[in-house]
Amino acid sequence: MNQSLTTPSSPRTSLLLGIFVLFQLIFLPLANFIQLVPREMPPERGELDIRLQREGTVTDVRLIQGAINSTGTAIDRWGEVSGQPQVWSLFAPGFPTQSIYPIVEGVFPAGFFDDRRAIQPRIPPDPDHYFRWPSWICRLNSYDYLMAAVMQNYTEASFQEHPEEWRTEIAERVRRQQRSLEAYFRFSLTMLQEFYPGYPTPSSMILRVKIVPSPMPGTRERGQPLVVFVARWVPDRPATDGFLPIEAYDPVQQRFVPLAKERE
Amino acid sequence: MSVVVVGPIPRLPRCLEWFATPIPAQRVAAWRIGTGLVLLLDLLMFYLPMSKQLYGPKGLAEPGVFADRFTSPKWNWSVLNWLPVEWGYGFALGIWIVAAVLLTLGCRPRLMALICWILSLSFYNTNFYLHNSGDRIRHFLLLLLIFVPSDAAWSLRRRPRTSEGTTLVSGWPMRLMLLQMMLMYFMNGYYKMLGRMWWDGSVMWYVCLDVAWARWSAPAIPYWVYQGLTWFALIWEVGFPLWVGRKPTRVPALLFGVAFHLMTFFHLEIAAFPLYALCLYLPLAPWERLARRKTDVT
Repeated sequence: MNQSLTTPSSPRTSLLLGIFVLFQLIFLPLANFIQLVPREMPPERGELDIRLQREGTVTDVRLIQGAINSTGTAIDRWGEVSGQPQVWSLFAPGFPTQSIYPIVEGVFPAGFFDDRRAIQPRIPPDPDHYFRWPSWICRLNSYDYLMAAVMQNYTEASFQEHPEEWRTEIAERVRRQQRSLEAYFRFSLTMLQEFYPGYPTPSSMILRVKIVPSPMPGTRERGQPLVVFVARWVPDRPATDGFLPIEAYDPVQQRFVPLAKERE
Repeated sequence: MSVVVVGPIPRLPRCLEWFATPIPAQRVAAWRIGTGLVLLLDLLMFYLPMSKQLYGPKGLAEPGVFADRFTSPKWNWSVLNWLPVEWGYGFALGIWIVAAVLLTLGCRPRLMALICWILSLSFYNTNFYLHNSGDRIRHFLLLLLIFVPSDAAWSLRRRPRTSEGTTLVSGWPMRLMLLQMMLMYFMNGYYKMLGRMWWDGSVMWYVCLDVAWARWSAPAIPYWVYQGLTWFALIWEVGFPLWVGRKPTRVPALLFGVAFHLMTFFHLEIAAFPLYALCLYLPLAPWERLARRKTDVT
């Protein structure tokens, strides 16, 4: 066999490529394993993000903790710039024992009108006998899920035990997701008006979450589905000074409450 | 018969030179074609039909829903921020689709991979809630393709144009992808091990009976089957570095991975995640045998 090896690239290209490969070789394991080492992180703000990093301190020695913090920060920034955040935890540490769906409804003088069910029939009428093809709404499902995610573990028993915790949890989530919730309401209103052009603008729009419990392992019987309120938006209301545009549902008082822009 | 190594070989420390040992060009070409095809499917099926609602005016990303992602100290970025919202997303999506087609065909694949990577990251950051881990795999696949001569085989504009014998390219991308897979599965397995449901074996039961995630209602099979699947998946994930590191278990572990991702693509509502994960497997398959068989036939 006649072998002729050809490498037409310049030494500079090889060097630069070598630096990139070496950097990636260090970055990938480091970005994964540094998550297990406690470090001080800035508080999360804005819409939800994904973060697996253990927070806290590993030592009282500032020099060491500072080095861990700085390394973690550098890793995070490279992950963001290059699109490689190392966040791998699919279905971990557990999986929800109930399914959740957001339902956005317009409130008219005649009563509720559920726009999304008409447009996007995702909720199977019989959860034990259904089939769905892969469809173009797959990506929208991710958005839908995050609108409803606050109620993922909500049960009536849990609410009876911890009503104040649920009140705070819903209010905090609605506060944090103000922008996405407002966009979601506007998007739902646009869809409603496109599909039903004759309808007037609803006086308000309400986000509820339908919860469908899964059967206990080894059984086939599901608990009764539950529908719970989360948030409300009033389309024509002028911006109110001092309050956020989306109101949160208070399950203790059983009414929607405005959220102050500035915390008291 | 000659052996030609196309493209740059990275200069690495002596102890790591094995990392760049050349591999057949067909493996890299298969990775490029697979990634290009999955990207095209993703764009045409999951982005294009709803692009206006997802990225347009009054859409789910407007006005500035994810603006905090672009503020200090974060370094996220998006070229969509520089374009008018009225037509910017459509224009960018058009370019993205054209670049994905050219990438698949192997026409200036490095430039096309760069364009696809820029737009992939931009669409991801501009409407973050639409995306999942599969999209981060997509960024990784495209980022590496920027540095690889993936047109050395099976491309419209092959470079070098003529080459008799065997064409090789540096094997660092394949090994980096394998490292990414090992870390991805191991970390998934590690976090799963922290959960009680993975130990009692109930996770697959709840996955299959979740009406939001599962595309069809679960068949009436005994609970112990679900438990077995749960434990098998956990052992496979957490032990993945070990399984692929040992020759006797390598091929079965990889084949299980392929079957697992195919199953999840059809069964679960997770968009193109499993397909991008499958692209990581492409350089590991002996595609050169296919090329050799074709040569033998002709």
